[in-house]
Amino acid sequence: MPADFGYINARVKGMRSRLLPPGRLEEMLALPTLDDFMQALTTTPYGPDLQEALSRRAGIQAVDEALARNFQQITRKILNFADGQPRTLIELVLLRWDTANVLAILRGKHTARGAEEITANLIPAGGLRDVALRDLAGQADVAGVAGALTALAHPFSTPLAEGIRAYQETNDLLELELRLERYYAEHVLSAAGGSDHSAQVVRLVVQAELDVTNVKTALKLQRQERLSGEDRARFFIPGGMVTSEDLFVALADPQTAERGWRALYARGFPRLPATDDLLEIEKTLDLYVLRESAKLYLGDPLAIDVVIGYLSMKYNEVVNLRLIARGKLLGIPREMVRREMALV
Amino acid sequence: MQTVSPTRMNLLQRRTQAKLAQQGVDLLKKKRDALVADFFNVVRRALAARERLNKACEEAYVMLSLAKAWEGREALEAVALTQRSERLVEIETRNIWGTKIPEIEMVNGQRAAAAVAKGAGPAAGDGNGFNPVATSARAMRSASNFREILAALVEVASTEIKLRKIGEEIKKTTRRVNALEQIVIPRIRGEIRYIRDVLEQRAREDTFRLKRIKKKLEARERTALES
Repeated sequence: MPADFGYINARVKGMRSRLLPPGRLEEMLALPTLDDFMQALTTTPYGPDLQEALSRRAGIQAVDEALARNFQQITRKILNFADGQPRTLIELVLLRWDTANVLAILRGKHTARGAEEITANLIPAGGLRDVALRDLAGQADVAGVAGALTALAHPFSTPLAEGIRAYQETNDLLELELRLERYYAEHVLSAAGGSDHSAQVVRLVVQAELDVTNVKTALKLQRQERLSGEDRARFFIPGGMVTSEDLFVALADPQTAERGWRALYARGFPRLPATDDLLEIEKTLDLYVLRESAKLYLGDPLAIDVVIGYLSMKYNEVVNLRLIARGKLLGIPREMVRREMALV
Repeated sequence: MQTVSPTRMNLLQRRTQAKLAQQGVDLLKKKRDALVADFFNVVRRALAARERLNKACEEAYVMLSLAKAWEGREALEAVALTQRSERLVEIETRNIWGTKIPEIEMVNGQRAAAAVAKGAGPAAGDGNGFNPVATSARAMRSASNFREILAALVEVASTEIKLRKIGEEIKKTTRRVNALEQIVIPRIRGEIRYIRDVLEQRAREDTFRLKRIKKKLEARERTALES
């Protein structure tokens, strides 16, 4: 099997043609009911997934399952026709999903939820497949999850093994979660440490995500007046391109936020709307990340750019379809749904 | 009516009863007026609470939908996995004209379940136990909207249970007033009339009898004098 990005990108470009054009989304947005939307969805590449989901669930739940399943299959398909270094880099890009899944499992185990309930909240779009995730969710407790990850030789076994003793002593899941987030950043940046263009792109994408995550976290912490500087610094995830710990703490403290913003913009972070509305700012940042990642599709045709760009566009499409479905379900005005949709 | 023995004692008793019943009617009417005034106050509050609940639901479900669409149901539910908190309500009983009416109020602050208390307690950034790194503002707003729904629900429950209780009491009081005005008082008045009539009749008969005796005595005297 060819391992180079030339072949992978050719396949991905073929898959790109199956993304729904904006006009099609607009047509779906104009449909009056959820049933009409589901009917329309059956005539798209999501049709087979929807049919299958409808055999188990109904309505919006079937739509959600079909969209998630389709996205998983796409990631799986891309991984299947890649190997060697390109596959490693793609797996690093998809490691974000493993983070989300492992976090969900840890939370479930921490609160003693059943394996069934936890499994329902997982999307096996990363390196951990269904069987591995079911095995993790079936563990008795958080320590069991850490042990199972070690047995799977998954990179996340390291932060969990390091943090499990502290967790068992303090029962502080948050510290374990933060450890995992920090390790994710550290691992991806070091694993994609090569000097070739693809590794650089992966690092840039992850660094941009880390910057945005840190800014979003700082904005949330700004609203918490009773936290100390140390408490705020606890939530900083190192590895971003423009956000340092000092800048993060300054930004997270309402007293020094102004100085933090100035320093952030001086380092080239995109200007945010002058509003106090956290939702508006977060949406702007999400759109920024989404658009910047999607733009990579037009980047180097012989590097990972196209894969990252395509995955962003695909996920964006899934988000838009979920928005339309919920708009139909709750009768949310079309204009409002359109405002929320991210058209890349 | 037939069982009432028409004696002066019973007449006095019935008169006292009638007076007492009338006083009871007046008191019950005052109670009813007070309850009706309270009822209308609570109706206004109940309508406002309903409106608050509807508005909170509308906002919360739209926000939840947007959060689910942006982050996916799975991610959002994973966030919710650590959220197992308790909200406390305080129930006090208020006495309005002898009617016990519950006042339900939400206690400020929340008590996280023991399992979560340490893991993601107040130190977790937003004060509500979320990890601010892995939780979006939409999810947090959504959770906060649902907390608002909970508060609105408690308010609706409080006002509506009060309305029901007051309504039932008004109905009960009205039934009592009607029973007193239309059954008890007319019956006592009827008995008073009956006893009074019988006593008057007796008095007339006595007078008549005495007059007849007097006439007879006078006739006897006259006969004795003539003879």
